[in-house]
Amino acid sequence: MTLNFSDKDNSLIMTISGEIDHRYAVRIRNEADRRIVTYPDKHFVMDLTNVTFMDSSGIGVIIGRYKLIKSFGTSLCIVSSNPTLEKILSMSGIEKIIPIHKTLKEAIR
Amino acid sequence: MNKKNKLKTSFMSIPENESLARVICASFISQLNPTLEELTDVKTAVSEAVTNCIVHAYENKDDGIIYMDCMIEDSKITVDVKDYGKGIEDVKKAMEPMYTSNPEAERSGMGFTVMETFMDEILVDSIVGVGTKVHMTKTIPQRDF
Repeated sequence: MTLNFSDKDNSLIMTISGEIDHRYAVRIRNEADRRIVTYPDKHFVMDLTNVTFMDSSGIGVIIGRYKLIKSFGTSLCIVSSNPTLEKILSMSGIEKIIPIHKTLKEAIR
Repeated sequence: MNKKNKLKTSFMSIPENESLARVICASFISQLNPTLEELTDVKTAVSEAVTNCIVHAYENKDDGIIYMDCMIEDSKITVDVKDYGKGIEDVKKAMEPMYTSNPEAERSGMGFTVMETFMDEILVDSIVGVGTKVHMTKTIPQRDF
């Protein structure tokens, strides 16, 4: 699993590549929170386009970041056009509270 | 054509072995020519079961042993994941969607729900102080190529 952060316009983008499971969840959470707390006014984008596997640990990470970002009054969205993730994202119901975009371009503000 | 095959594995309760268990199981069932979606379903269910052993049964201690047995009978695959950890007091409650015994750990509480959704059948046997066995099955429809 690799993590990259970048910013564009008013968005902070976290790009995750590889697998998201319990082993990597803590690292993603810590790295994400450090940036979110440093730039609390930025719109946060989780780009999952290059994620090859995700279990419910990934859902826990997304919901945790959603709660933190909401506490700052800013917004979070996900980028995923990945059929591998579609089922778990859909069954978790997070699409009801977090917008999921097909492309990064649509997600950036 | 009747197919039968069995695989028995055991490994330490460390997070590095979550991906190992997924890969082993995916490789084993690939002889049934599953679709990518079926393969992902099984890998996800296995990942949840093994993570439960590490996080809940052995409480993140690395000296536990996790047993994963896989079996193929015709088009049906069976995966049993077993531990000798602390056991589950109330299996019915543990299997409720969004239930988590440790909200501070930021677990989604969806592990068993994922296993139920991604597999055809799941049975959980647990005895407090003895351990837990998760039995999962899934039929991979045979296709002509």
